[in-house]
Amino acid sequence: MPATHAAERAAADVRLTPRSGYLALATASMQRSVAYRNTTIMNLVSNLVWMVVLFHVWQSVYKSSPSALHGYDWELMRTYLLVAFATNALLSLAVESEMFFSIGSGRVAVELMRPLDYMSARLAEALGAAAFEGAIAGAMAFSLGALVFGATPPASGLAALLFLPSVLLGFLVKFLLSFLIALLCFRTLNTKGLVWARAAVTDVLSGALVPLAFLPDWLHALAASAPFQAIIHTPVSVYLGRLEGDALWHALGAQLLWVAALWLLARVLWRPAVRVVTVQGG
Amino acid sequence: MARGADSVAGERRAPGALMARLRAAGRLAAVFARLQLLHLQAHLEYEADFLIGVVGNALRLSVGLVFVWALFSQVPHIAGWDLWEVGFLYALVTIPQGLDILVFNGHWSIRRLVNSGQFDRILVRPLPGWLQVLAQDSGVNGLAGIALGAAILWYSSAQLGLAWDICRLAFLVCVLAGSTVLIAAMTFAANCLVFWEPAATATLPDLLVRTTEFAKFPLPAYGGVVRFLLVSVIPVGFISYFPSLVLLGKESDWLVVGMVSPLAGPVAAVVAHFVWSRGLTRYQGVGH
Repeated sequence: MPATHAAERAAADVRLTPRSGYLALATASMQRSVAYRNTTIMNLVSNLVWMVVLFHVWQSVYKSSPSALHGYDWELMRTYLLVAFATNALLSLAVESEMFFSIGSGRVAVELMRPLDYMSARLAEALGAAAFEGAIAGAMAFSLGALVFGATPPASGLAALLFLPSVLLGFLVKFLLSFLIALLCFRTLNTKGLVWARAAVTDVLSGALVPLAFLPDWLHALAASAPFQAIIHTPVSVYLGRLEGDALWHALGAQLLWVAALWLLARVLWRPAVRVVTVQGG
Repeated sequence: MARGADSVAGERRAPGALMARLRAAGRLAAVFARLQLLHLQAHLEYEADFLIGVVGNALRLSVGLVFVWALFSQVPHIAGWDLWEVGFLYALVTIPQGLDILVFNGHWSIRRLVNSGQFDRILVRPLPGWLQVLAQDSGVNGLAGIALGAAILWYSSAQLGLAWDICRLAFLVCVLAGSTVLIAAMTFAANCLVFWEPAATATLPDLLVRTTEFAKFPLPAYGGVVRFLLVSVIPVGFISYFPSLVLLGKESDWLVVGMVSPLAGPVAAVVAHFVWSRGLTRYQGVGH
């Protein structure tokens, strides 16, 4: 496996390769993403298909209604769709399924024997893949936004500056949530069902499906108190300039708090979960 | 099902030969049914997994419903269709999708079989290769789609005040059967791409299947180019839009297309079989 080789080479050939095992994993993961770039691109195009559906349907809606819905006019909505698409591309389903499957297939037993912390190692891999995915998604979104969509740039200098850190925090939240769900994989074979469930709940409550303001009241209330909004809603709101001044810093602070809380929860639940390693593969 | 196309399309023979072919087709169907039931039984053994699968799929489908709700809370009509009509469309897509997963989930195994070298076993067995592939798995998750879709269909038609007489009911059954075959044929043909692109991680089949999402909204909502593509190249328009023109009793120039939409299924099955055959000629084995 590339990860093993990278770690071994790191130990043997200190001159040229990263010393840290985690950095080696991240690099290897990014290299793997680059090597299989067709997959990455196809995944993005697949998400693009859904975005095209969204685009057309919203266009129909805006044609036959007042100019602003819940404070989003058509230009803002277009931009929202595009930026949400790019942000959602990070930690793609493929990467996540990989993590779930490694538990489901028993490969986790091998990973556990390594001198690396399991969660941090997965995070390193996810970051490595996300670097590449993010670059491609960003390029795609930028060219689409400029040429086809007529999307708007960040609302202000501050928005532009804070957008990427916000995305990074959102990415961490997404990873941690995914990892927590992955712990369930220690007890069940149906990883696909878990991925679907996690993706469905996240899509709705994070703002990936529709801006949170459009959800029914009870769902909106649920979303406001749940960590999922940190993944899409907060970064995109930062970009669009819908969060200003105090609200902006509060939102970023909330993201940070969620990262800390989820990280703590993951550490607490890890020990009991891994004790139940039933190796299902062979 | 494709076997129907198989047994009817052929040279003219004496009635006795035709009966023999029909009997053979019946045997194939019986074998297929037994294999799929075995898969279902195996899945049901793992109760927790079964529940997770059904719940996961139900959640995934509900996401679409939330989306439709969010849209219609802003406007009363989309491209002239109201909430319950769009719900009806949604059900006409969800039920066949669920049926396809339940009955034919084997499509997705082609890639695994080819890349792991197990495909040769399929070729030497005395059953048609495509049948064996389709019988590789049965997806219990499909039950969620069928149940949810049926519920939405029933509720939407109640809200719309549709009168279900024998004709309409019979047509609905034809539409659902035809759409299931259409979706199955499209998914199968998409997965046959592995014969041209054996790389283990190519996701083109996924992408092609994703396009069925377009069928959940009325075609007039889409721009001209997309609309053309959805009728001719990737015929998802026949899954839900055209049949619902007939079932909902709408005024349209395309009613005739609606009446013959169920036939799109068998036609697609023939095309899929052709793609399969061409793919087989390219298959050289991965070495073993």
